[in-house]
Amino acid sequence: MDEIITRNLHALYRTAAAIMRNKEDAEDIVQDVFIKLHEKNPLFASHTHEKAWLLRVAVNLCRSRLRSPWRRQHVPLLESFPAKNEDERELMQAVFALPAKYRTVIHLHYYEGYTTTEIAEITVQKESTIRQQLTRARRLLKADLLEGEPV
Amino acid sequence: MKPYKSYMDSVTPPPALRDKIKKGLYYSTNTVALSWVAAAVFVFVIFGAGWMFVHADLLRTHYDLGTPHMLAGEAEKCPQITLQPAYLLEYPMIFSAANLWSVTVNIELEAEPLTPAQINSLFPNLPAFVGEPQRGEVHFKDEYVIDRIRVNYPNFSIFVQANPLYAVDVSLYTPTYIHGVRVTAFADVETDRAIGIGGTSLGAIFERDDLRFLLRYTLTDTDILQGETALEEIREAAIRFTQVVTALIYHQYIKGFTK
Repeated sequence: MDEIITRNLHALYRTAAAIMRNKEDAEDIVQDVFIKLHEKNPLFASHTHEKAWLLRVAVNLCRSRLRSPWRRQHVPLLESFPAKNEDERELMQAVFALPAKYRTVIHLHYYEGYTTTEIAEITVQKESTIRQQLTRARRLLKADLLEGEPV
Repeated sequence: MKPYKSYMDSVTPPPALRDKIKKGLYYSTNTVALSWVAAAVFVFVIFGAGWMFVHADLLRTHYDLGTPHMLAGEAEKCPQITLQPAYLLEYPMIFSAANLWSVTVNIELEAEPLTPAQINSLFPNLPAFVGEPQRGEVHFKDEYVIDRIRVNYPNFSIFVQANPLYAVDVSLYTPTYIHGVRVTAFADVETDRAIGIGGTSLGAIFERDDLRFLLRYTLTDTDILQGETALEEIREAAIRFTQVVTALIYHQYIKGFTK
């Protein structure tokens, strides 16, 4: 279990943080992911399989938590982890302004490097849906970032 | 999206998260274990309660087949008989099936004692009670005659219980609790010996407050009983003994009884 935690802790934490937009929820999600792993104790064919399974659980837990009416207000991630420069801050504000489903595909695609096919497997959705979400997310980001800039 | 990657690289889990995960796993594991324990206790309590209620009903049947059987045609004269589970409350020292089989019977007792002749005529085929009282006010002579039972309570009570250490078969003893006085009938089956009080007897102890007396019922003329025959004999005798003891008290003190 220690090895699995070490291998996947950062990826899970960042994915959860990207979706939940705060570190408190991210920590809870990561903890719950490993409890799920402990309960289910699945057999993995590879580390890639293992990571994909854990990310799927994390994404599902994030979805459940976002749907919960009992969510507490937490410190925004950008306050817990301030951006290093203005460009970074603007982009992250734009990303965090996106709906959760778009934040999920953005993170899995641009940070974790998954293809739309792989993201479809992780999020248990059609690949066409993922492609559509990615396109819309990009379009929204572009619109947000270009807004206010001199023509 | 380089700024995104750069920013997310800076998002690192706190060092304490690893401990938090391990604690979560620890509590998760123990929660599962505790859940199983709780479930087991729940099932035990539910089934135990059901078992007791079911057997309380059986006891009612046993009692109806026991003493009233001896009192054919007379039961309706009993002014009040109520049965209710006694369980462990009255006899906490012995947690046994016998306690669970106990029932409470309250009987109004304002009647003239039976004469030896009346008792003899009631139970002509029973073997004789012999022995002497350990303490108290009851004497048994040959032919199971009660000299006197000096118990003048408005509500007289008897407890007939199979001692779990010496139980032959608790269900055969018609274990009965009549509030206040215990009657303990016992026999030893481990050695195939009826040891009630002596080597070949079944015994019963009547207790109430400062009153305590002991009855002895001799099974056979032999000193030691062995084997299945002895066991059967003990069982039969235990049934009869319990019935007789209860019936005697019943006849002796129930208001309105006349022979």
